[in-house]
Amino acid sequence: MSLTKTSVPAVAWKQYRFKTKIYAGNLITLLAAQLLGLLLSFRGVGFSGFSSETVTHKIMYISGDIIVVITLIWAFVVGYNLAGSSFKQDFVFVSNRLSSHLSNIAYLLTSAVIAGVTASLGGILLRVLVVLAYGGQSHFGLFIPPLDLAGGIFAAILYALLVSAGGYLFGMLVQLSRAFIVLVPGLLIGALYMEAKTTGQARLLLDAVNFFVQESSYFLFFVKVFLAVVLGFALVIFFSQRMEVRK
Amino acid sequence: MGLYLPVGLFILLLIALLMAAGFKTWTGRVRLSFRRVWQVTGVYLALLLASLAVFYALAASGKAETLPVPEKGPGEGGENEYDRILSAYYDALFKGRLEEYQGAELQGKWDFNYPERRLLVRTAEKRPYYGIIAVEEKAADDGRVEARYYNVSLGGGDLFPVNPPEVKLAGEVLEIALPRRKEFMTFFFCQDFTSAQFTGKGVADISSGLYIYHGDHQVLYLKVPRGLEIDTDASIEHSVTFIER
Repeated sequence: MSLTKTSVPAVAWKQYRFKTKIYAGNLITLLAAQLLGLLLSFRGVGFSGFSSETVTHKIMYISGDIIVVITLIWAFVVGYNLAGSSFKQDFVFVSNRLSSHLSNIAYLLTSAVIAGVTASLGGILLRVLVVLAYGGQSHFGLFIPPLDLAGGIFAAILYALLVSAGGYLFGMLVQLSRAFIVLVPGLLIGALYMEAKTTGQARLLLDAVNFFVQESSYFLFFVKVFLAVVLGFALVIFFSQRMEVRK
Repeated sequence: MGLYLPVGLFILLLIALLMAAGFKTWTGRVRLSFRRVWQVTGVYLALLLASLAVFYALAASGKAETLPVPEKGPGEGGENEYDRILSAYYDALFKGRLEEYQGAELQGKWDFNYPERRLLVRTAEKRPYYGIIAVEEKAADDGRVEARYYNVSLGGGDLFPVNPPEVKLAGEVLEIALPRRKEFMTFFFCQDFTSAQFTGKGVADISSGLYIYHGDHQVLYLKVPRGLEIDTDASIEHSVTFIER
């Protein structure tokens, strides 16, 4: 029995602060991943060319897409690992599953913000490095209006949050049963394979991806991601209620 | 599409698993000082912010060029706009209006006095020429051969480099001296897919709009006196087009 009164938000806040410290290593892996993306993007993400009897012209397309994609993989892994390991850490505190989830969600939100901002700015660093390294060559489309850049950061944060919530949900399913580690990718890839084999197209995943990727309205994109993330976290909380107490 | 997506997913999953293994090393076995991590992160953030300042300084100094790819209309690809420009250019060419047409850039100009009745047109060193040589007969016999070298104007500047030939008159031969092949390299910056989602300026949007330009659209336009007979040799025999006004 304790004489100290506490509340779920207060405990969740303490857990969140604790997690930002013990998972600080995640930031280092984020930097390493983004630098790897930068390295891979430095020689271009695409080429086209033309040759005639008088001219050979190569066009190299530079974009930060690889940096963003690698950052999203990082976000997925962070979500997955958090679901697997955070409950071990949470027993340090007098807590319940709800406070643990709240602190995890806050941690994922923080990670998504850091990942989204650094991934988008990593694309800017890439542009500067390319211009400085190949200063004599002609280049086009370098300038990004600040509003477009802000829009890119906004979208990158939301994508990172969406993907990390997906990783968290997958991690929680794996905590329920180890079979999910094989079942989920197996079902997903198997369904895509069967669909591609029978219809020639993998519409299932394409439609799911296009639902987010082809949304050109800032507001609707936010709403779609917000609802998907809320659904993901609600499923996590629902599934975790069925979990047994760790011995 | 076929199996591309499942294979791609598998590779992504593999990368994710490898990174997960890496995470365990960082967060499990190897403990990192919280302070040291924030120092490293702080340096990285400072680098990113400094690059942002340099980036906008580069843009302000005029080194940044505007995007030459025509803006898309609703439901259009960039190539539709190129189609329109190229179609207007060739229309002007075959109607003999290239001289007045605003969308044609003059790349070379040569004038020769030539009072003879026959002229052989060929390339120097018999190198094959695959561009268009348009020949227009003037309304009068003024004893002058005018040669102009045009390229379509897509507003891209260095994005569409041209290496024009030299045209010389030697006796009864008009010789097209093709230059040595020049190499050009252009960097085309595309927005990340995260911002391209709202602006339509990503790799897929830009590169698909550029492919159609990857062909020769240069024209050597000859205006010759009325009644002048043009001969060709094997180097250009498939390139000559006669323009009727």
